Amino acid sequence: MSGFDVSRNDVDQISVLYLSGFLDAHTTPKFEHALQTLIKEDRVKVIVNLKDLDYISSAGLGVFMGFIEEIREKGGDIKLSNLSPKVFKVFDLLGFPALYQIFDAEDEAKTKFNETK
Amino acid sequence: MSDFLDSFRLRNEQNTENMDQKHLELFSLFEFSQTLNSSLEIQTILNSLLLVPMGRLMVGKGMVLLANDEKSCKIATVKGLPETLINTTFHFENKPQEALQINWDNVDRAFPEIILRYKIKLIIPIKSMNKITGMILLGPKLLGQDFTQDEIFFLSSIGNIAAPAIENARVFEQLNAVNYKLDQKVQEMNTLFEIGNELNRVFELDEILKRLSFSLMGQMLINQFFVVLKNGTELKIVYKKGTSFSEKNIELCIKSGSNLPDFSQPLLTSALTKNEGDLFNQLGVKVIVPMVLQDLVRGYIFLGPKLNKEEFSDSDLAFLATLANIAIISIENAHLFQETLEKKKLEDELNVAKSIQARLLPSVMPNVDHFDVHGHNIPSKQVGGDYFDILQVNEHEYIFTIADVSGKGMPASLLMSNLQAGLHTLYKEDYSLSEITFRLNNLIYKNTSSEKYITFFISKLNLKTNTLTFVNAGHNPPYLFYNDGSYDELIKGGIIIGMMENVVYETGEVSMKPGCCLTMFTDGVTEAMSPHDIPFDEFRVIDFFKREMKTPTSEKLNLKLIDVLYDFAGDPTKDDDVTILTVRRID
Repeated sequence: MSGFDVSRNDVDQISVLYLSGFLDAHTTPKFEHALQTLIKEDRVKVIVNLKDLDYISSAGLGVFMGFIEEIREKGGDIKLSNLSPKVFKVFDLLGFPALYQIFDAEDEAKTKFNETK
Repeated sequence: MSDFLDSFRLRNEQNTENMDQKHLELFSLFEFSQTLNSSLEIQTILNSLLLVPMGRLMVGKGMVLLANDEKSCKIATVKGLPETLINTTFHFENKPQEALQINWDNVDRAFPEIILRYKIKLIIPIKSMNKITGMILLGPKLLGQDFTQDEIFFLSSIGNIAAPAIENARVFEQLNAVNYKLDQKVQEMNTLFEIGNELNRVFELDEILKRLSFSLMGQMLINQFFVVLKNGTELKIVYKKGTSFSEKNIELCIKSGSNLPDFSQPLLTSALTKNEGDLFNQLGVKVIVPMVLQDLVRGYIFLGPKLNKEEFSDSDLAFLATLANIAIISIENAHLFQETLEKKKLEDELNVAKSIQARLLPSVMPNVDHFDVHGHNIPSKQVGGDYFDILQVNEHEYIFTIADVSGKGMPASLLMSNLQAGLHTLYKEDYSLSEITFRLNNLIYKNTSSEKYITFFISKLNLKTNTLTFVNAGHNPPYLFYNDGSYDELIKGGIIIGMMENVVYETGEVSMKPGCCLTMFTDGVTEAMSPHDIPFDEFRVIDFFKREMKTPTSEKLNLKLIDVLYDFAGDPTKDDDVTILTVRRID
């Protein structure tokens, strides 16, 4: 079984989650927990950096869907950055680019957050 | 002379100018065809298809149309015109087969409104294999002159060169679209495969629904939905995601949903009749997905709209149907698994009860002077209510008792232990058998409803006088066999215990002659059924003892009877306990 991990780095208002490995139905609880924790701490400006993510399944994308409403209601957002072509393809196939801002680099996402402060 | 020279120079210059112009046109065509061949992007091709002539001939506006079919076409790209026109489809029959310059002072045929609105001056058909696949539409030149024949010829060439490139690009675009659809299908399959795998290892309803929800949200781009399951005929909500469904609305959805005619495939609420459709629309329900197991609808998933505002496609509905059915199988399995677990737990408890009950029966037979006593109980698979006991009252008195509690399982076993406890406190007191029975009857009567009762036989052997006193409270009569082959039935006593209060029991008395054999048993013996549904019956018990009462020990005698029972009935303990208590005088 391939592993999956989430680490987190807070910079000012913004929290960056770094996902690595395989995000599928089996490993979603870890990611889910990370987002729940952020919401609990009221840190709703979230960048998810997918630089080291090797694989994502629809269930993985489901986690993004499951939290976006609450996070946006609290005035935050989930922005994505550093998607590998393989991972981006899955996002694209399922129509995510219409709903989520996707950036090449983490800094661009940060800039976007700071613009709309 | 100088005139001639001048005119020659002039002619030469004009020629040169013409030559230059031709050269330039050829170069443009060459460059254009290179651009076309280096790209499969339809927009790139269409852009140069417009920009080359507009730049060359100084035209301020133009558009390219692509033919949808014989009668209509679509605006594929525009320059110098509002971009919003792109993708507009309009009716255009009798498309000109050759380049057509429109004379706006005298328009001689009916053109589509778009052509009139934007004062199109020139229409160049793009033809592929004699079929018009598109058109270049150009506005007037900026300086107002008409297009010359040469220019029209040049533009027609451009149209002809572009035709196959456009065709290729369109095929390529279609191929890409098909590929994309295929990739989406693959993604769907992966999702189904993944969730199927995942649900195989989850056995809790909540966990299953949570896994289901992520696959559903990720794949369908939704975050508003709820799941209801059938509980008998009632629908009960078991999972909800998102904030758009209030409790009241969910109730309304369930109510309106159950009024709909049966459906086993996902239902678009937009396909419903106006009244129902409007209602679900107001409630925010776009699709109702039935969860079908073995042709029965076991629940529904109500879905809100897709977040990207797109409608649910047929492919989406097929995916939803499969996902819902996978989920309901897992939910059902989880349900069965929980039931099995609970049953297992109950069985474990029953086994504990069984072993407790077994300990209430004597495990070691006492040595009674001049008598050979042996009791044997085989419990049925369930906890039963048979009871026997051998109690020493004093040096020369023993009590032998046997009882059968009505019913089976826990209640019977509880009542049996009640009886045992009652008897164990009473027998040491100086009570007669009829007094003991009187008290036990009142005790059991108080402790149970009247449907519960006990058949009870109690006897007391006096070793000094070799007499046996007894009370039979509705139990199968024990038999006392004598040496000469005759026997007595011990019937005297009264009604079964636990039925009514303050019953007075009579006491019987018999003499235990040398060589006699007393046998007490429960109806597990007489009602043991053969495979042909014939009971073992009393007469076979009597025959057996008459034949076998000289068997060396009571234990062997009992075991022999049990062998006979097994031969007769297969497994005599299938439905009931089997209990035998035998007392023989051996001197």
